[in-house]
Amino acid sequence: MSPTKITKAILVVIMVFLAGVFNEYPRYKDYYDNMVHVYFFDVGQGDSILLKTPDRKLILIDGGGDDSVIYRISEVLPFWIKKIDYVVVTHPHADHIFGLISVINQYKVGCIQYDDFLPPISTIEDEFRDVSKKLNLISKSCINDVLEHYEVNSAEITDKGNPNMRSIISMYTYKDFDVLFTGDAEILVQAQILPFLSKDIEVIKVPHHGSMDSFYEPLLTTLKPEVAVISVGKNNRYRLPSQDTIDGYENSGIKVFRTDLDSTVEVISDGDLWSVVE
Amino acid sequence: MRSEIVAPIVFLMILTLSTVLRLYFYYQNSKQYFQYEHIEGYILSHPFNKDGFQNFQVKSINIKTGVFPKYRLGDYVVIIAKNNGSTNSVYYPKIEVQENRNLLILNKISIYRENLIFKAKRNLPEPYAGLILGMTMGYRDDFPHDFLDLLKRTGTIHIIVVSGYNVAIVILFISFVFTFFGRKINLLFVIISVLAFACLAGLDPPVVRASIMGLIAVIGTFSGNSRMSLYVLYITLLIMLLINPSYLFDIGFQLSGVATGTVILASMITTEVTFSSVVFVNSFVNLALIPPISYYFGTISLISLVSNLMILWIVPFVTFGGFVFFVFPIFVIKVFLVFLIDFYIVITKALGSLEFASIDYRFSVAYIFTYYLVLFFIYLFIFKWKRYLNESN
Repeated sequence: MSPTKITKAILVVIMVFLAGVFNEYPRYKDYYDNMVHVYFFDVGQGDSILLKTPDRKLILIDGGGDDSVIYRISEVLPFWIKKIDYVVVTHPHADHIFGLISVINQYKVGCIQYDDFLPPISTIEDEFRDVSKKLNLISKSCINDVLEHYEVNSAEITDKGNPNMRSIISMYTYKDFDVLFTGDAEILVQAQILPFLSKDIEVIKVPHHGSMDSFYEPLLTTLKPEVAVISVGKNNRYRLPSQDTIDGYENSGIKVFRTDLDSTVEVISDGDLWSVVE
Repeated sequence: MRSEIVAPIVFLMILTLSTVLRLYFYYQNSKQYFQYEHIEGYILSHPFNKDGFQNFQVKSINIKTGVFPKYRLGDYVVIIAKNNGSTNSVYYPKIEVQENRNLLILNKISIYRENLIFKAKRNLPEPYAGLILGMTMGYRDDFPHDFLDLLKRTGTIHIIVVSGYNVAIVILFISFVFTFFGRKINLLFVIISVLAFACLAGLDPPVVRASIMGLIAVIGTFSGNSRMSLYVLYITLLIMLLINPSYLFDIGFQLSGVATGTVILASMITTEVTFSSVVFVNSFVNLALIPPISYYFGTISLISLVSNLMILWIVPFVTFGGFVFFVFPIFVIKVFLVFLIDFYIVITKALGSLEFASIDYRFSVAYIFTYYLVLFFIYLFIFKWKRYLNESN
């Protein structure tokens, strides 16, 4: 090989190396920074939230309605991290559960918080059960150590066929920083949970993609969140979020972010200070 | 006229005529054909997920169904469809797999492919796994829309299509491994491997084209003769249409045919491998691909020449590295592949973010013909001019 060719080859190797470092370093830095990172992923019409704790535990709440969650996870984690410690299925609608099938297939999952006492509502939930049962991942106490979560009293739920009525609500707390994850919980579920929630929180995931049937003002006046995030798809056929819901949050002085307009919304905190990455 | 000249000409004429007749009768009957409510046959390309559907073809009819249950290459399916006859796509039909009639060898290859995909995705995150699988075996399941848009804007979407690169790697690798077995046995292994690879990659038109051309090249032991390559391409495309006339309107068939033909034609003008000749061939291919890409995707990338010149060189490295990684999934190879694809991502993101990267425009059929006519005359002019320069030197 001539010296010119060797020089060219070295230049190409340096370029590739620099591109690799340029692309990988931000993910490496965020993963090892001992802070809380909450990513409300833009997965189209559906919910998917990844939470990274200061001790680098990864909690995935729902997986969206397609496989895009896989790409969104890769955008925020270093390429050698292929483990998700905890997975939460808030409820089994396809726009929350579909992407989790690929997550289970492609990542080493620690355990899955999921109730399988009712028959599956779709072929998608059926497939989800198959893959998670094969690996023995389902546990009713999976997230007990990392998230506070609240059970609804099913005796008071009249609309038992509606999976939104058993949507898991959970709270993550690190020092003074609190985030509430609400899944698709409707007003009745929120009203049942409210007596267990008393402290001020910083961030709330708006229930049910900002639908009006899930807007429950007492939740906001009690918890006083400062930021609300709506997980919603661009031009979705349900025409969500409802403008009345957005107005309701904004009139309470809450800043609203939307995954259809803002793409993935990231909140970081050291337990004392916190901010939305823009 | 000597018989060695007459025989190939007669062969080409008969082949051309047969293909034209086959296409004529196929498309004359196609309207009736699409109205059938009962379709049964083999799935002969790997089903893939797109826009929430599982997609596959049976007897040239596009079947779009739910993502679960999964169907496989080689499955014999009976489909009850409600089709209005205005399109060759049917949505959510009733599908029954007749397992006793499945093509077991294709089923086995399909299962092997699923295992490779599973291992790759378990070891690598996206889009790395998807791109490597796309470059090595034509995997094309749900890439997110924003990522596909980026590939379209930068004119680099073709890198996730299996091409001659892959077939060449298979041929070279198998020839090397079986060097000491003698020419005939070596040839036999090469043929089996190319056929197995074509099935593994999914029997899509670009793979079939590359495999047939590769096999003809190996059996005929010719290489580097541009004029001969052009004949081989012509014969390959005709044979493919003769076997499956629906390929005529398949985007993969059209893009693969145009790209390969243009590379061969451009190589007839510039014979030396220099930077300027690479730029020339690349420019020519990019110009030739504008009409079909615009027609199907409604986009013309204005930076495809630059982006392709900058990233195309990684394809053979990723393809070869990808094959090695499937066998030895070790960390060093993983880093090598990730960094190469990082380079690709950084370049495409940088170029794709330019405001003038692409324009939205859809060619009409009349424009496509006019465009190719003009391009052909430009080619002829350059060809004659180059010959004049060579003769005057």
